[in-house]
Amino acid sequence: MASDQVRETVVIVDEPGRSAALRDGLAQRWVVLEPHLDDLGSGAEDQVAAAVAPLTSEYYGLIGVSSAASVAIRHALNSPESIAALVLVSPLAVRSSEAPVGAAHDLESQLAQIQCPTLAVFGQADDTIDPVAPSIYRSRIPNCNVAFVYDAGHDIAAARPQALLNLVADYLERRETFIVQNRAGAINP
Amino acid sequence: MKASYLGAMGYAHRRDFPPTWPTPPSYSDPATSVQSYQDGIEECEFAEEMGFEWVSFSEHHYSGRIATGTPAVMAAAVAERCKSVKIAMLGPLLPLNNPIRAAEELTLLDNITNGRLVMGFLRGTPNEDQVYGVHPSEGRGRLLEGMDLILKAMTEPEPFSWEGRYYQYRTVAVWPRPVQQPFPSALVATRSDDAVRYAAEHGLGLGVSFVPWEQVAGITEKYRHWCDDAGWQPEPDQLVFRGSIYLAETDRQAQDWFNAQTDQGRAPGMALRSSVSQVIQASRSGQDVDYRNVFAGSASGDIVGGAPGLTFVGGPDTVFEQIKAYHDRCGTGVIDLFFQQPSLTHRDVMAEIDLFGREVLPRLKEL
Repeated sequence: MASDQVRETVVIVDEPGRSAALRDGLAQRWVVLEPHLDDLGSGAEDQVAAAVAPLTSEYYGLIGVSSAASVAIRHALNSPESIAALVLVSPLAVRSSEAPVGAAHDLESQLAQIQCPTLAVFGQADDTIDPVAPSIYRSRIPNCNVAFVYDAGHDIAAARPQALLNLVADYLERRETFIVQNRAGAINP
Repeated sequence: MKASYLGAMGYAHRRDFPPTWPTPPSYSDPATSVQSYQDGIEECEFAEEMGFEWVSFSEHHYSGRIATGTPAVMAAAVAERCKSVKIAMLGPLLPLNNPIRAAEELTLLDNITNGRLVMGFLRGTPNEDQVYGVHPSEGRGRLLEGMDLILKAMTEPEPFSWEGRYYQYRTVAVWPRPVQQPFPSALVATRSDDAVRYAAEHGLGLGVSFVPWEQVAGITEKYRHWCDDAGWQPEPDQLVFRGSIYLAETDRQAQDWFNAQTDQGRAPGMALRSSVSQVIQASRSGQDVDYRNVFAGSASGDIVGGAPGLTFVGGPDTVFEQIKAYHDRCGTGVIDLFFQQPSLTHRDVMAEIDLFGREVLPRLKEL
Protein backbone atom coordinates (compact mmCIF):
# COMPACT_ATOMS: atom_id res chain seq x y z
CA MET A 1 0.00 0.00 0.00
CA ALA A 2 1.31 3.46 -0.85
CA SER A 3 2.39 5.42 2.21
CA ASP A 4 0.12 8.38 1.41
CA GLN A 5 -3.00 6.23 1.60
CA VAL A 6 -4.99 6.13 4.82
CA ARG A 7 -4.68 2.74 6.42
CA GLU A 8 -7.67 1.09 8.00
CA THR A 9 -7.69 -0.01 11.60
CA VAL A 10 -7.83 -3.43 13.22
CA VAL A 11 -8.38 -3.92 16.93
CA ILE A 12 -7.12 -7.10 18.60
CA VAL A 13 -8.62 -8.18 21.89
CA ASP A 14 -6.50 -10.80 23.59
CA GLU A 15 -4.35 -11.48 26.61
CA PRO A 16 -1.20 -9.34 26.46
CA GLY A 17 1.47 -10.58 24.08
CA ARG A 18 -0.29 -13.73 22.91
CA SER A 19 -1.18 -12.34 19.49
CA ALA A 20 2.16 -10.67 18.81
CA ALA A 21 2.83 -12.52 15.56
CA LEU A 22 -0.67 -11.85 14.27
CA ARG A 23 -0.41 -8.21 15.29
CA ASP A 24 2.96 -7.76 13.58
CA GLY A 25 1.75 -9.43 10.42
CA LEU A 26 -1.43 -7.40 10.20
CA ALA A 27 0.53 -4.22 10.91
CA GLN A 28 2.04 -4.50 7.44
CA ARG A 29 -1.36 -3.64 6.04
CA TRP A 30 -3.44 -2.13 8.84
CA VAL A 31 -3.07 0.16 11.82
CA VAL A 32 -3.33 -2.34 14.66
CA LEU A 33 -4.57 -1.42 18.09
CA GLU A 34 -4.23 -3.78 21.00
CA PRO A 35 -5.98 -2.24 24.01
CA HIS A 36 -4.75 -3.26 27.44
CA LEU A 37 -7.48 -4.88 29.49
CA ASP A 38 -7.40 -5.32 33.23
CA ASP A 39 -9.32 -8.56 32.89
CA LEU A 40 -11.69 -10.27 30.48
CA GLY A 41 -14.75 -10.17 32.69
CA SER A 42 -17.92 -8.14 32.44
CA GLY A 43 -17.16 -4.54 31.55
CA ALA A 44 -14.03 -5.32 29.55
CA GLU A 45 -15.91 -4.41 26.38
CA ASP A 46 -16.28 -0.89 27.76
CA GLN A 47 -12.53 -0.70 28.23
CA VAL A 48 -12.11 -1.67 24.57
CA ALA A 49 -14.52 1.05 23.47
CA ALA A 50 -12.82 3.65 25.64
CA ALA A 51 -9.38 2.73 24.40
CA VAL A 52 -10.30 2.70 20.72
CA ALA A 53 -12.54 5.77 20.55
CA PRO A 54 -9.80 8.43 20.78
CA LEU A 55 -7.64 6.66 18.19
CA THR A 56 -10.03 6.04 15.36
CA SER A 57 -13.35 7.41 14.22
CA GLU A 58 -13.87 4.96 11.40
CA TYR A 59 -15.14 1.45 10.93
CA TYR A 60 -12.59 -1.05 12.10
CA GLY A 61 -11.96 -4.74 12.06
CA LEU A 62 -12.23 -6.46 15.43
CA ILE A 63 -10.43 -9.64 16.42
CA GLY A 64 -11.12 -11.56 19.61
CA VAL A 65 -8.93 -14.49 20.60
CA SER A 66 -9.79 -17.45 22.84
CA SER A 67 -11.28 -16.27 26.15
CA ALA A 68 -11.18 -12.68 24.92
CA ALA A 69 -13.54 -13.54 22.06
CA SER A 70 -16.41 -13.00 24.49
CA VAL A 71 -15.22 -9.43 25.05
CA ALA A 72 -15.02 -8.85 21.30
CA ILE A 73 -18.52 -10.21 20.81
CA ARG A 74 -19.95 -7.99 23.54
CA HIS A 75 -18.19 -4.98 22.06
CA ALA A 76 -19.57 -5.81 18.61
CA LEU A 77 -23.05 -6.06 20.11
CA ASN A 78 -22.67 -2.73 21.91
CA SER A 79 -21.10 -0.84 19.01
CA PRO A 80 -22.49 -2.29 15.78
CA GLU A 81 -21.97 1.01 13.98
CA SER A 82 -18.20 0.76 14.48
CA ILE A 83 -17.38 -2.79 13.48
CA ALA A 84 -16.62 -3.54 9.83
CA ALA A 85 -15.84 -7.20 10.43
CA LEU A 86 -15.46 -9.49 13.42
CA VAL A 87 -12.93 -12.31 13.58
CA LEU A 88 -13.11 -14.83 16.41
CA VAL A 89 -9.99 -16.97 16.80
CA SER A 90 -10.48 -20.15 18.87
CA PRO A 91 -13.43 -18.49 20.61
CA LEU A 92 -14.53 -19.82 23.97
CA ALA A 93 -17.63 -17.68 24.08
CA VAL A 94 -20.17 -20.51 23.90
CA ARG A 95 -20.28 -24.12 25.09
CA SER A 96 -17.04 -23.63 26.94
CA SER A 97 -16.04 -24.90 30.35
CA GLU A 98 -14.03 -21.71 30.77
CA ALA A 99 -17.10 -19.50 30.65
CA PRO A 100 -19.73 -19.42 33.40
CA VAL A 101 -22.73 -21.41 32.19
CA GLY A 102 -25.14 -18.53 32.57
CA ALA A 103 -22.91 -15.99 30.86
CA ALA A 104 -22.11 -18.34 28.00
CA HIS A 105 -25.77 -19.10 27.50
CA ASP A 106 -26.61 -15.40 27.47
CA LEU A 107 -23.96 -14.71 24.85
CA GLU A 108 -25.07 -17.68 22.76
CA SER A 109 -28.59 -16.28 22.69
CA GLN A 110 -27.27 -12.92 21.49
CA LEU A 111 -25.18 -14.20 18.58
CA ALA A 112 -28.10 -13.61 16.24
CA GLN A 113 -27.82 -9.89 16.94
CA ILE A 114 -24.30 -9.56 15.57
CA GLN A 115 -24.70 -7.36 12.54
CA CYS A 116 -21.26 -7.41 10.95
CA PRO A 117 -19.66 -10.11 8.79
CA THR A 118 -18.00 -12.61 11.13
CA LEU A 119 -15.34 -15.26 10.74
CA ALA A 120 -14.93 -17.90 13.45
CA VAL A 121 -11.59 -19.71 13.19
CA PHE A 122 -10.81 -23.00 14.93
CA GLY A 123 -7.77 -25.22 15.13
CA GLN A 124 -8.81 -28.48 13.53
CA ALA A 125 -7.31 -30.41 16.46
CA ASP A 126 -8.53 -28.07 19.22
CA ASP A 127 -9.78 -30.37 21.97
CA THR A 128 -10.77 -27.49 24.24
CA ILE A 129 -13.61 -26.51 21.91
CA ASP A 130 -16.93 -28.29 22.15
CA PRO A 131 -17.38 -30.06 18.79
CA VAL A 132 -20.76 -28.41 18.28
CA ALA A 133 -19.46 -24.89 18.93
CA PRO A 134 -18.37 -24.08 15.34
CA SER A 135 -21.79 -24.92 14.00
CA ILE A 136 -23.42 -22.74 16.67
CA TYR A 137 -21.50 -19.67 15.53
CA ARG A 138 -22.19 -20.49 11.90
CA SER A 139 -25.92 -21.05 12.35
CA ARG A 140 -26.67 -18.29 14.85
CA ILE A 141 -24.67 -15.33 13.53
CA PRO A 142 -26.45 -14.02 10.41
CA ASN A 143 -23.34 -13.54 8.28
CA CYS A 144 -20.78 -16.00 9.61
CA ASN A 145 -18.11 -18.17 8.04
CA VAL A 146 -16.34 -20.91 9.97
CA ALA A 147 -12.78 -21.91 9.12
CA PHE A 148 -10.69 -24.81 10.39
CA VAL A 149 -6.92 -24.51 10.38
CA TYR A 150 -5.36 -27.91 9.83
CA ASP A 151 -2.61 -29.17 12.11
CA ALA A 152 -3.41 -26.63 14.83
CA GLY A 153 -4.86 -26.92 18.30
CA HIS A 154 -6.24 -24.12 20.43
CA ASP A 155 -3.19 -21.90 19.98
CA ILE A 156 -3.39 -21.54 16.22
CA ALA A 157 -0.92 -18.67 16.16
CA ALA A 158 1.75 -20.92 17.65
CA ALA A 159 1.10 -23.91 15.39
CA ARG A 160 0.33 -22.29 12.02
CA PRO A 161 1.15 -18.57 12.32
CA GLN A 162 1.35 -17.85 8.60
CA ALA A 163 -1.81 -19.77 7.83
CA LEU A 164 -3.69 -17.83 10.50
CA LEU A 165 -2.32 -14.50 9.31
CA ASN A 166 -3.18 -15.23 5.68
CA LEU A 167 -6.68 -16.33 6.55
CA VAL A 168 -7.46 -13.42 8.88
CA ALA A 169 -5.94 -10.84 6.55
CA ASP A 170 -7.86 -12.21 3.59
CA TYR A 171 -11.09 -12.07 5.56
CA LEU A 172 -10.50 -8.54 6.83
CA GLU A 173 -9.72 -7.49 3.28
CA ARG A 174 -12.60 -9.20 1.53
CA ARG A 175 -15.00 -10.22 4.31
CA GLU A 176 -17.56 -12.82 3.23
CA THR A 177 -16.37 -12.63 -0.36
CA PHE A 178 -13.12 -14.27 0.77
CA ILE A 179 -14.67 -17.55 -0.37
CA VAL A 180 -14.14 -16.46 -3.99
CA GLN A 181 -10.83 -17.66 -5.40
CA ASN A 182 -8.70 -14.69 -6.40
CA ARG A 183 -5.42 -16.39 -7.24
CA ALA A 184 -4.89 -16.96 -10.93
CA GLY A 185 -4.64 -20.61 -11.94
CA ALA A 186 -3.09 -20.24 -15.34
CA ILE A 187 0.36 -21.87 -15.57
CA ASN A 188 1.52 -20.62 -18.93
CA PRO A 189 -0.86 -17.84 -19.90
CA MET B 1 -13.03 -64.61 8.83
CA LYS B 2 -14.45 -62.93 5.74
CA ALA B 3 -13.33 -62.91 2.13
CA SER B 4 -13.31 -59.94 -0.21
CA TYR B 5 -13.13 -60.12 -3.99
CA LEU B 6 -10.96 -57.42 -5.58
CA GLY B 7 -12.85 -56.19 -8.63
CA ALA B 8 -9.79 -55.47 -10.73
CA MET B 9 -11.70 -55.35 -14.02
CA GLY B 10 -8.55 -56.32 -15.87
CA TYR B 11 -8.44 -55.96 -19.62
CA ALA B 12 -8.94 -59.39 -21.22
CA HIS B 13 -5.70 -59.30 -23.21
CA ARG B 14 -3.54 -57.98 -20.40
CA ARG B 15 -1.15 -60.86 -20.90
CA ASP B 16 0.05 -59.06 -24.02
CA PHE B 17 0.96 -55.84 -22.24
CA PRO B 18 4.59 -54.76 -22.01
CA PRO B 19 5.97 -55.08 -18.47
CA THR B 20 6.32 -51.31 -18.17
CA TRP B 21 4.07 -48.54 -16.94
CA PRO B 22 2.12 -46.76 -18.29
CA THR B 23 0.52 -49.11 -20.78
CA PRO B 24 0.00 -47.23 -24.04
CA PRO B 25 -3.69 -46.59 -24.75
CA SER B 26 -3.12 -48.14 -28.17
CA TYR B 27 -3.38 -51.52 -26.42
CA SER B 28 -7.01 -50.80 -25.57
CA ASP B 29 -9.54 -52.05 -28.09
CA PRO B 30 -12.99 -50.68 -27.22
CA ALA B 31 -14.90 -53.86 -27.94
CA THR B 32 -12.49 -55.91 -25.84
CA SER B 33 -12.59 -53.33 -23.10
CA VAL B 34 -16.40 -53.32 -22.97
CA GLN B 35 -16.43 -57.09 -22.68
CA SER B 36 -13.69 -57.03 -20.04
CA TYR B 37 -15.75 -54.81 -17.76
CA GLN B 38 -18.80 -57.02 -18.25
CA ASP B 39 -16.68 -60.04 -17.39
CA GLY B 40 -15.31 -58.29 -14.32
CA ILE B 41 -18.78 -57.39 -13.09
CA GLU B 42 -19.88 -60.98 -13.64
CA GLU B 43 -16.96 -62.13 -11.49
CA CYS B 44 -18.09 -59.82 -8.69
CA GLU B 45 -21.65 -61.16 -8.90
CA PHE B 46 -20.40 -64.73 -8.83
CA ALA B 47 -18.11 -64.00 -5.88
CA GLU B 48 -21.12 -62.70 -3.95
CA GLU B 49 -23.08 -65.80 -4.91
CA MET B 50 -20.24 -68.02 -3.67
CA GLY B 51 -20.13 -66.37 -0.26
CA PHE B 52 -17.67 -63.50 -0.50
CA GLU B 53 -18.88 -60.79 1.86
CA TRP B 54 -17.00 -57.82 0.42
CA VAL B 55 -16.21 -56.67 -3.11
CA SER B 56 -13.36 -54.19 -3.21
CA PHE B 57 -12.08 -51.62 -5.66
CA SER B 58 -8.70 -50.06 -5.99
CA GLU B 59 -7.51 -46.93 -7.75
CA HIS B 60 -4.84 -47.62 -10.35
CA HIS B 61 -4.06 -45.58 -13.40
CA TYR B 62 -2.87 -45.86 -16.95
CA SER B 63 -2.95 -49.63 -17.20
CA GLY B 64 -5.45 -52.34 -18.01
CA ARG B 65 -4.15 -54.70 -15.36
CA ILE B 66 -6.32 -53.13 -12.69
CA ALA B 67 -8.48 -51.02 -14.94
CA THR B 68 -10.25 -48.84 -12.40
CA GLY B 69 -8.70 -45.39 -12.50
CA THR B 70 -11.99 -44.04 -11.19
CA PRO B 71 -12.99 -46.75 -8.73
CA ALA B 72 -16.12 -44.96 -7.51
CA VAL B 73 -17.64 -45.28 -10.97
CA MET B 74 -16.93 -48.99 -11.00
CA ALA B 75 -18.15 -49.46 -7.45
CA ALA B 76 -21.44 -47.76 -8.29
CA ALA B 77 -21.99 -50.07 -11.24
CA VAL B 78 -21.20 -53.21 -9.24
CA ALA B 79 -23.26 -52.05 -6.26
CA GLU B 80 -26.35 -52.13 -8.46
CA ARG B 81 -25.65 -55.76 -9.37
CA CYS B 82 -24.39 -57.01 -6.01
CA LYS B 83 -27.06 -56.24 -3.46
CA SER B 84 -25.70 -57.64 -0.23
CA VAL B 85 -21.88 -57.46 -0.19
CA LYS B 86 -19.98 -54.62 1.40
CA ILE B 87 -18.64 -52.26 -1.24
CA ALA B 88 -15.07 -51.59 -0.17
CA MET B 89 -13.30 -48.63 -1.72
CA LEU B 90 -9.70 -49.55 -0.97
CA GLY B 91 -8.45 -46.63 -2.75
CA PRO B 92 -8.99 -43.82 -3.29
CA LEU B 93 -5.40 -42.62 -3.50
CA LEU B 94 -5.80 -39.47 -1.46
CA PRO B 95 -2.61 -37.62 -2.41
CA LEU B 96 -3.71 -37.69 -6.04
CA ASN B 97 -7.25 -36.57 -5.53
CA ASN B 98 -9.25 -33.60 -4.43
CA PRO B 99 -10.30 -34.79 -0.95
CA ILE B 100 -13.63 -33.03 -1.19
CA ARG B 101 -14.42 -34.83 -4.42
CA ALA B 102 -13.41 -38.08 -2.74
CA ALA B 103 -15.71 -37.31 0.21
CA GLU B 104 -18.60 -36.59 -2.14
CA GLU B 105 -18.07 -39.85 -4.02
CA LEU B 106 -17.83 -41.84 -0.81
CA THR B 107 -20.94 -40.40 0.82
CA LEU B 108 -22.87 -40.88 -2.42
CA LEU B 109 -21.75 -44.51 -2.55
CA ASP B 110 -22.78 -44.98 1.07
CA ASN B 111 -26.22 -43.68 0.13
CA ILE B 112 -26.81 -45.71 -3.01
CA THR B 113 -25.66 -48.85 -1.17
CA ASN B 114 -27.75 -47.94 1.89
CA GLY B 115 -24.77 -48.04 4.20
CA ARG B 116 -22.72 -50.88 2.68
CA LEU B 117 -19.63 -48.79 2.03
CA VAL B 118 -16.21 -49.48 3.50
CA MET B 119 -13.71 -46.76 2.73
CA GLY B 120 -9.96 -47.13 2.74
CA PHE B 121 -7.39 -44.40 2.39
CA LEU B 122 -3.92 -44.86 1.01
CA ARG B 123 -1.01 -43.13 -0.61
CA GLY B 124 -0.47 -45.31 -3.69
CA THR B 125 2.54 -46.78 -5.41
CA PRO B 126 5.38 -44.56 -6.66
CA ASN B 127 4.29 -44.64 -10.28
CA GLU B 128 0.86 -43.27 -9.31
CA ASP B 129 2.45 -40.02 -8.16
CA GLN B 130 3.06 -39.24 -11.82
CA VAL B 131 -0.57 -39.39 -12.87
CA TYR B 132 -1.82 -36.04 -11.67
CA GLY B 133 1.52 -34.34 -11.17
CA VAL B 134 1.80 -34.73 -7.38
CA HIS B 135 5.24 -34.03 -5.92
CA PRO B 136 6.41 -37.40 -4.53
CA SER B 137 7.68 -35.82 -1.33
CA GLU B 138 4.20 -34.50 -0.53
CA GLY B 139 2.39 -37.82 -0.64
CA ARG B 140 2.57 -38.58 3.07
CA GLY B 141 1.48 -35.09 4.11
CA ARG B 142 -1.34 -35.04 1.59
CA LEU B 143 -2.57 -38.42 2.79
CA LEU B 144 -2.66 -37.37 6.44
CA GLU B 145 -4.30 -34.02 5.75
CA GLY B 146 -6.68 -35.53 3.22
CA MET B 147 -7.98 -38.05 5.75
CA ASP B 148 -8.61 -35.31 8.32
CA LEU B 149 -10.40 -33.20 5.74
CA ILE B 150 -12.62 -36.05 4.52
CA LEU B 151 -13.66 -37.01 8.03
CA LYS B 152 -14.37 -33.35 8.86
CA ALA B 153 -16.36 -32.94 5.63
CA MET B 154 -18.47 -35.98 6.50
CA THR B 155 -19.21 -34.92 10.06
CA GLU B 156 -19.42 -31.13 10.21
CA PRO B 157 -23.08 -30.08 10.10
CA GLU B 158 -22.53 -26.55 8.80
CA PRO B 159 -20.53 -25.22 5.83
CA PHE B 160 -16.91 -24.46 6.66
CA SER B 161 -13.58 -23.32 5.25
CA TRP B 162 -10.38 -25.38 5.41
CA GLU B 163 -6.97 -23.80 5.76
CA GLY B 164 -4.57 -26.69 5.28
CA ARG B 165 -0.96 -27.21 4.41
CA TYR B 166 -1.81 -28.69 1.02
CA TYR B 167 -5.49 -27.94 0.63
CA GLN B 168 -7.44 -24.73 0.93
CA TYR B 169 -11.19 -24.71 0.44
CA ARG B 170 -13.26 -21.75 1.46
CA THR B 171 -16.63 -23.46 1.12
CA VAL B 172 -17.13 -27.10 2.11
CA ALA B 173 -20.60 -28.55 2.58
CA VAL B 174 -20.62 -32.16 1.41
CA TRP B 175 -23.89 -33.70 0.30
CA PRO B 176 -25.34 -36.19 0.95
CA ARG B 177 -24.51 -37.03 4.54
CA PRO B 178 -23.36 -40.63 4.92
CA VAL B 179 -25.88 -43.29 5.90
CA GLN B 180 -23.42 -44.74 8.40
CA GLN B 181 -22.96 -42.22 11.20
CA PRO B 182 -20.82 -40.43 12.01
CA PHE B 183 -18.99 -41.74 8.92
CA PRO B 184 -18.73 -45.02 6.99
CA SER B 185 -16.52 -47.87 8.13
CA ALA B 186 -13.00 -46.72 7.37
CA LEU B 187 -9.48 -48.03 7.33
CA VAL B 188 -6.04 -46.79 6.44
CA ALA B 189 -4.09 -48.99 4.03
CA THR B 190 -0.47 -48.51 4.99
CA ARG B 191 2.70 -49.95 6.38
CA SER B 192 4.13 -46.60 7.55
CA ASP B 193 4.25 -45.84 11.24
CA ASP B 194 2.71 -42.37 11.00
CA ALA B 195 -0.32 -43.58 9.07
CA VAL B 196 -0.69 -46.70 11.26
CA ARG B 197 -0.66 -44.43 14.30
CA TYR B 198 -3.20 -42.15 12.63
CA ALA B 199 -5.53 -45.12 12.13
CA ALA B 200 -5.18 -46.12 15.76
CA GLU B 201 -5.71 -42.61 17.12
CA HIS B 202 -8.81 -42.04 14.98
CA GLY B 203 -10.49 -45.38 15.59
CA LEU B 204 -9.95 -46.53 12.00
CA GLY B 205 -9.13 -50.00 10.72
CA LEU B 206 -5.85 -51.07 9.18
CA GLY B 207 -5.21 -52.54 5.75
CA VAL B 208 -1.93 -54.10 4.66
CA SER B 209 -1.12 -55.50 1.24
CA PHE B 210 1.14 -58.00 -0.48
CA VAL B 211 3.69 -58.74 2.26
CA PRO B 212 4.37 -61.93 4.24
CA TRP B 213 2.43 -62.51 7.44
CA GLU B 214 5.60 -62.05 9.48
CA GLN B 215 5.76 -58.43 8.34
CA VAL B 216 2.03 -57.90 8.79
CA ALA B 217 2.29 -59.24 12.34
CA GLY B 218 4.87 -56.60 13.23
CA ILE B 219 2.73 -53.81 11.82
CA THR B 220 -0.40 -55.13 13.52
CA GLU B 221 1.38 -55.38 16.85
CA LYS B 222 2.30 -51.70 16.70
CA TYR B 223 -1.22 -50.82 15.57
CA ARG B 224 -2.82 -52.71 18.47
CA HIS B 225 -0.43 -51.04 20.90
CA TRP B 226 -1.39 -47.58 19.63
CA CYS B 227 -5.08 -48.56 19.65
CA ASP B 228 -4.64 -49.57 23.28
CA ASP B 229 -3.09 -46.17 24.00
CA ALA B 230 -6.15 -44.59 22.40
CA GLY B 231 -8.46 -46.69 24.55
CA TRP B 232 -9.89 -49.18 22.09
CA GLN B 233 -9.17 -52.39 20.18
CA PRO B 234 -10.10 -53.14 16.56
CA GLU B 235 -12.85 -55.55 15.55
CA PRO B 236 -11.90 -58.38 13.14
CA ASP B 237 -13.44 -56.52 10.19
CA GLN B 238 -11.00 -53.67 10.83
CA LEU B 239 -7.94 -55.78 10.08
CA VAL B 240 -7.77 -56.32 6.33
CA PHE B 241 -5.06 -57.96 4.28
CA ARG B 242 -4.90 -57.86 0.49
CA GLY B 243 -2.99 -60.58 -1.33
CA SER B 244 -2.80 -62.05 -4.78
CA ILE B 245 -3.87 -65.63 -5.30
CA TYR B 246 -3.69 -68.53 -7.70
CA LEU B 247 -5.87 -71.43 -6.63
CA ALA B 248 -5.93 -74.78 -8.45
CA GLU B 249 -7.50 -78.14 -7.74
CA THR B 250 -4.16 -79.44 -6.44
CA ASP B 251 -0.88 -78.05 -5.22
CA ARG B 252 0.85 -79.68 -8.16
CA GLN B 253 -1.37 -77.96 -10.70
CA ALA B 254 -0.87 -74.62 -8.99
CA GLN B 255 2.89 -75.06 -8.87
CA ASP B 256 3.03 -76.08 -12.54
CA TRP B 257 1.11 -72.95 -13.48
CA PHE B 258 3.32 -70.77 -11.33
CA ASN B 259 6.49 -72.29 -12.78
CA ALA B 260 5.18 -71.70 -16.29
CA GLN B 261 4.66 -68.04 -15.52
CA THR B 262 8.20 -67.75 -14.24
CA ASP B 263 9.63 -69.61 -17.24
CA GLN B 264 7.83 -67.30 -19.63
CA GLY B 265 9.31 -64.33 -17.86
CA ARG B 266 5.98 -62.72 -17.20
CA ALA B 267 6.53 -59.89 -14.77
CA PRO B 268 3.19 -58.16 -14.56
CA GLY B 269 4.03 -54.94 -12.91
CA MET B 270 4.31 -51.23 -12.84
CA ALA B 271 7.96 -51.06 -13.86
CA LEU B 272 9.56 -47.71 -14.53
CA ARG B 273 12.81 -46.53 -16.04
CA SER B 274 15.52 -46.71 -13.42
CA SER B 275 16.16 -42.97 -13.69
CA VAL B 276 12.51 -42.18 -12.98
CA SER B 277 12.33 -44.72 -10.19
CA GLN B 278 15.44 -43.27 -8.52
CA VAL B 279 14.08 -39.76 -8.57
CA ILE B 280 10.69 -40.78 -7.20
CA GLN B 281 12.15 -42.86 -4.40
CA ALA B 282 14.64 -40.16 -3.44
CA SER B 283 11.95 -37.52 -3.45
CA ARG B 284 9.57 -39.68 -1.43
CA SER B 285 12.21 -40.09 1.24
CA GLY B 286 12.99 -36.40 1.30
CA GLN B 287 16.40 -36.56 -0.35
CA ASP B 288 17.83 -34.04 -2.75
CA VAL B 289 18.32 -35.51 -6.17
CA ASP B 290 21.52 -35.06 -8.16
CA TYR B 291 20.17 -35.30 -11.67
CA ARG B 292 23.64 -35.57 -13.19
CA ASN B 293 24.04 -38.96 -11.62
CA VAL B 294 20.50 -40.04 -12.28
CA PHE B 295 20.78 -39.44 -15.99
CA ALA B 296 24.20 -41.03 -16.33
CA GLY B 297 22.71 -44.37 -17.37
CA SER B 298 21.94 -45.75 -20.77
CA ALA B 299 19.94 -43.74 -23.27
CA SER B 300 16.93 -45.99 -22.94
CA GLY B 301 17.27 -46.49 -19.21
CA ASP B 302 16.96 -49.81 -17.44
CA ILE B 303 13.52 -50.96 -16.51
CA VAL B 304 13.21 -51.72 -12.83
CA GLY B 305 10.45 -52.73 -10.47
CA GLY B 306 7.52 -55.01 -11.03
CA ALA B 307 4.62 -56.62 -9.29
CA PRO B 308 5.12 -58.44 -6.01
CA GLY B 309 5.01 -62.21 -6.13
CA LEU B 310 1.87 -64.15 -5.45
CA THR B 311 0.84 -64.31 -1.81
CA PHE B 312 -1.29 -67.44 -1.97
CA VAL B 313 -0.55 -70.29 -4.36
CA GLY B 314 -1.73 -73.88 -4.14
CA GLY B 315 -4.63 -76.24 -3.87
CA PRO B 316 -7.51 -75.54 -1.46
CA ASP B 317 -5.89 -77.03 1.64
CA THR B 318 -2.64 -75.17 1.12
CA VAL B 319 -4.29 -71.85 0.34
CA PHE B 320 -6.52 -72.24 3.38
CA GLU B 321 -3.48 -72.74 5.60
CA GLN B 322 -1.67 -69.81 3.98
CA ILE B 323 -4.61 -67.49 4.65
CA LYS B 324 -5.17 -68.94 8.12
CA ALA B 325 -1.64 -67.88 9.05
CA TYR B 326 -2.66 -64.25 8.56
CA HIS B 327 -5.71 -64.82 10.73
CA ASP B 328 -3.88 -66.66 13.47
CA ARG B 329 -0.66 -64.63 13.55
CA CYS B 330 -1.95 -61.17 12.62
CA GLY B 331 -5.60 -61.17 13.61
CA THR B 332 -6.66 -60.53 10.01
CA GLY B 333 -10.44 -60.58 9.80
CA VAL B 334 -10.97 -59.82 6.12
CA ILE B 335 -8.84 -61.25 3.33
CA ASP B 336 -9.06 -59.24 0.10
CA LEU B 337 -8.03 -61.39 -2.85
CA PHE B 338 -6.68 -60.44 -6.26
CA PHE B 339 -7.52 -63.34 -8.58
CA GLN B 340 -6.99 -61.77 -12.00
CA GLN B 341 -3.45 -62.86 -12.69
CA PRO B 342 -2.34 -61.58 -16.10
CA SER B 343 -2.27 -64.86 -17.95
CA LEU B 344 -5.71 -65.98 -16.77
CA THR B 345 -8.89 -65.76 -18.79
CA HIS B 346 -12.30 -64.80 -17.49
CA ARG B 347 -13.25 -68.48 -17.51
CA ASP B 348 -10.15 -69.33 -15.45
CA VAL B 349 -11.03 -66.70 -12.85
CA MET B 350 -14.65 -67.85 -12.63
CA ALA B 351 -13.42 -71.41 -12.05
CA GLU B 352 -11.14 -70.18 -9.27
CA ILE B 353 -13.95 -68.25 -7.59
CA ASP B 354 -16.08 -71.38 -7.75
CA LEU B 355 -13.33 -73.55 -6.26
CA PHE B 356 -12.53 -70.99 -3.57
CA GLY B 357 -16.20 -70.66 -2.66
CA ARG B 358 -16.66 -74.42 -2.36
CA GLU B 359 -13.39 -75.56 -0.83
CA VAL B 360 -11.77 -72.66 1.02
CA LEU B 361 -14.32 -70.06 2.03
CA PRO B 362 -16.52 -72.30 4.24
CA ARG B 363 -13.47 -73.11 6.37
CA LEU B 364 -12.40 -69.46 6.55
CA LYS B 365 -15.83 -68.48 7.83
CA GLU B 366 -15.38 -70.83 10.77
CA LEU B 367 -12.22 -69.08 11.93
